[in-house]
Formats: sequence, structure tokens, C-alpha cells
Amino acid sequence: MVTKELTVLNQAGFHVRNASAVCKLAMKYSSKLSLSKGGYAADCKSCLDLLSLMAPQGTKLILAADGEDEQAATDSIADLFEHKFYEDEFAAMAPPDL
Amino acid sequence: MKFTDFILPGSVNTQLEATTKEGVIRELARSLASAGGFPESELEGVITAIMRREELGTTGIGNGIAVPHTKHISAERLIGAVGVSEDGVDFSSLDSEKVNLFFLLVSPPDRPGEHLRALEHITRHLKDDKFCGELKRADSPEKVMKLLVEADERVV
Repeated sequence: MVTKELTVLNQAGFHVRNASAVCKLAMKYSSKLSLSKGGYAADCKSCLDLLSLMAPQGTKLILAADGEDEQAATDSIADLFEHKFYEDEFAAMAPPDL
Repeated sequence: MKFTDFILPGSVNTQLEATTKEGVIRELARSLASAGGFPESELEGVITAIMRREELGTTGIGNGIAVPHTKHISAERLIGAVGVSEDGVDFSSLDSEKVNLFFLLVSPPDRPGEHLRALEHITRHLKDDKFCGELKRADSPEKVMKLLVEADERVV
């Protein structure tokens, strides 16, 4: 089991596009992956679950990975958070949105 | 936050006729305007904004659910419409399943927190398979509103 604290850095918070990105990435790994806040744990492979976290900018979430590829999964999901879900690349394509 | 804080009763449609993503968005945005959510003159602008958001990535979040949305200056507060499609619509969802249940949200540009709270409320309740199934099978706007009001009274 690997755990890592991640912070939501982007201004709009952890919204649909971010949750989808985490979900898609999580599906590539066999490990059990969850993000939790205040005792509420969301399955990273369920976008529905991730969106129920309610995580505005600055929220700290705990990523827990358990399985064969736990370290690789942790590193790649942490990379998404650390790069603000690569939203700047989207911003270049369209006006700021949710 | 409660469903009744942002779902406009007059904008619930349990007999969506559209069979495409854009068609559903048009139908629900029109319902929202008709219910007084924003001026009719802003309808095309709202639809365009929602479609542009969809181009960045689908809001079909799986389990037959989609939450198309946008920020728009014409919305004075967070507002939402609910739509049910019996046959389901291809929304390029994450799980590739057709979507039967839609929550279309329009929020003021300066209040991202409200949008996140609405998403939290919607998704926490929709994780309840019984509630989600009842909404998908609802055959009248009154039935949908009854289910939403009952859900608001439950703690999840």
C-alpha cells in the first residue's frame, strides 16, 4: 500500500474534467486506488464517486494505492495533480470553463 | 446544498425526444430558459458554451449519467434542468454506455464553489442505485421533483 497527500492546485477545483482525467488514468492500473477527504473515500475508477468529494482549490486529498502497480499509479496520478490536471493546455483551446 | 436550491421545477423533462448530444443539450437548455433560468435571447449563447465545454471532454460520467454544464454571464445564480431519455443517448461517456439521466447546470462565472457543491450533491445521491434507477424510470416531471425533494431530506 502506498499513500500520498495531494493538493488541488487549480483555481476551479476538482471538477468534472479533472475527475474524468483521474478516472481514465486510474483505469490503466490494476491496483485499487482511492482518494479520500475527511474519512470519505472515493474509488478513483468511478467518476461518479470522485465528483462526490467536493474539493475546491487548496483541498488536500489522500491518495491510497494498493496492488502490483501501486507506485506507478501513485506517481502518475500525483503528476496530474501537481500539473493542475494540465488545464493550461485546455485553456489555450477555449475560454476558461469549469 | 439541495436539489431544490438549483433545479427549476419547470425545466424537468422526462420525455426527451433528442437522440444526439447536441439535441439533448438544446432541449434541456430551452427548458431552462422557458422556466425563467435565463432570458430566451441568451439561449443560443448558452447552448454554444455548453457544446464548447463538451468539446474539451465529455460530461458523460458513466452509469448512464451526464452533467453537461457551463458558466454563463446570464445566470444570476446556479440553475439546473433534469432530463430523462428512455432509449438513452450516446454521449461519448467514459464507460461507453448510453445516457438516460441528465443534469444540465448553468452557473455564474464567479462562483465555482456552488458548481462543485451541486456536483457533490448530485453524485452522492446518484451513487444510490435505487434512487438513480427511480429517476431514470420517472415518467413525469412531478415524479422527478418528488424524488428530488425526498432525496433532499436524506443525509448522504
